[in-house]
Amino acid sequence: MKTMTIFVAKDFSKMPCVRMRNDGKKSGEEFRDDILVPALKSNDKVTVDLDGVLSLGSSFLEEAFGGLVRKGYYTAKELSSKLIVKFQVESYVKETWDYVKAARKEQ
Amino acid sequence: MEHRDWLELLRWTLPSLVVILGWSVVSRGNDRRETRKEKRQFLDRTLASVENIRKNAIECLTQGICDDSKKLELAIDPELLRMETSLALLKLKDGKNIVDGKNLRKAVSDNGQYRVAGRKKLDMDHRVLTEINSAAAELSASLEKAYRDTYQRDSAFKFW
Repeated sequence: MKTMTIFVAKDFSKMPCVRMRNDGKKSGEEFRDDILVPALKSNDKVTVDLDGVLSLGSSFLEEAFGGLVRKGYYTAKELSSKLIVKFQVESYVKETWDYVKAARKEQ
Repeated sequence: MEHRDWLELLRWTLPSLVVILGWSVVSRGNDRRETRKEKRQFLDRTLASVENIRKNAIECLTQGICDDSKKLELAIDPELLRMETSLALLKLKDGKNIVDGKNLRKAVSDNGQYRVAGRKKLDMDHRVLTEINSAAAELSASLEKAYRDTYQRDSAFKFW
């Protein structure tokens, strides 16, 4: 089984925040499309390790993770077996999965 | 052992037992009071952090993009994370759930304005500012309620 860990603070940004690329640098959209989706496509299991970030905007989390379902890349069920989110503060992890579960695929 | 010997033994051991028992009760009470005091201090710092985030977020969003608003953004982001870390350590329960800062974080950082390139300054009565204010107020109220429910009820009803 092919696995991969993305260290967000090291591989992307210590301060990921905004939602869309148009909103500014290091957005949820940029992380999802440039890093997360390619990693998910080429691995059976991907761990997103958020430890070390200095901030974590809700808009970033919703777009990066909820966006996976909304944009039709994966279903919430597929993600539950393919994706692991790690962070020292559990409420952020819960929030991330809440966004995944709440997201509906765009028509 | 005769009856007299038992009485003699009790004469010596009973006071010692009473002293040990008393010490244990006082010590447990002190420990509980200390824990309550430490939690209260920690809670007060967390509440101050909530208020700080609220004030900074409103100050930031009521300015256009400038050096001052960027400085505020740099202060708000890590403080949101520190606040959430404190809440996770406090583990205060409001009902069944541990109180977290998700609603305040969402109101501050997922409103279509915060750290968004090209945003305009908001009017003081803008919906986004109202949402930040109410999320901060609700979080503070939940924390106070959770603290009261956990510690003040404890001290009123638990003697042992």
